[in-house]
Amino acid sequence: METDLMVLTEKLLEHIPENLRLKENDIKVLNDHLDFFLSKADIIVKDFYDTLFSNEATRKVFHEGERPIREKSLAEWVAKTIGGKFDKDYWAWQTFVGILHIKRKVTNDYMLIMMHRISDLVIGEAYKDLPADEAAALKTAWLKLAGIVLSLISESYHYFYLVAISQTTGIKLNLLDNLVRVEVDNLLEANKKYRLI
Amino acid sequence: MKNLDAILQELLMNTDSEAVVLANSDGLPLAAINTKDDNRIAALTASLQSMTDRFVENFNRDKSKQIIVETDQGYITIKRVNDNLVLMLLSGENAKLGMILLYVDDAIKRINEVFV
Repeated sequence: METDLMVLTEKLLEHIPENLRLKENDIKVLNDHLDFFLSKADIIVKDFYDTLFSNEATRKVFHEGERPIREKSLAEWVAKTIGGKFDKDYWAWQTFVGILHIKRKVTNDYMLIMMHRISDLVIGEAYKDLPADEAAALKTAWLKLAGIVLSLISESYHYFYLVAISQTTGIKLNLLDNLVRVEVDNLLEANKKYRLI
Repeated sequence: MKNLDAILQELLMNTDSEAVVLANSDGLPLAAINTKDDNRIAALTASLQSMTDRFVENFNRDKSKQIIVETDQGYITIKRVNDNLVLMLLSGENAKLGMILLYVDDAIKRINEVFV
């Protein structure tokens, strides 16, 4: 059972197809637009938390009075991300966020939909403020980055959720996998009426 | 495996039991008799063994030697065969625990001989 975050991160990065990885020119595009992102940080952060707080289920993730702390944290994430080197430490940080999300009960459905919202805002602002070819390059680089971040956080969440169960109960991951396999066919059978094709 | 099946069959007869499964530590069945769903029972048997080991670890005890579940319909005995195998025996209400433990130990000894 792999619990070394850096080793796991490297394994997860290997799962990403070559053409979806960040290339040097993507990193340069992102780094060159640090000022653009910083100028949009307030818009992104405000919209992000307005959206989360407008929904009862997502609002419940936060403690009373926590919003200013989280807003600062998201603004720092944007600055650190866009100005970053996208090295091993950066990707390991994203994998770490998956564990944090378990602790905070930020399930992957919330995380995925909100990352999509950020992407929507970033791309919209880019096309509003930048020449079309520059906005297109930024869109490509941003979507690659968002895809990698999403895959690391979501798989880390899933993996470490199982690791936590495994370490608490003593049930090895292989055995957990077997327990799932003996039940999954029943789940498919019970829900087959929802299959459209 | 023929030898394993013979050992398990004999264990069932000697203990007036209903079903038996031999599973590996990943929860896969190596041999089973009369279990409705070998895969499920093997996985659950290995899980119970793992959870009991982790449970006793919290009290600084060595690994558990056996788990005996008493129900109105009889006993369910789970016993480690070795580090990689675990045995589950489902016995009826007329089965005697002393006989169960005696023959389970004998079966475990013979199973280990198969894997030497």
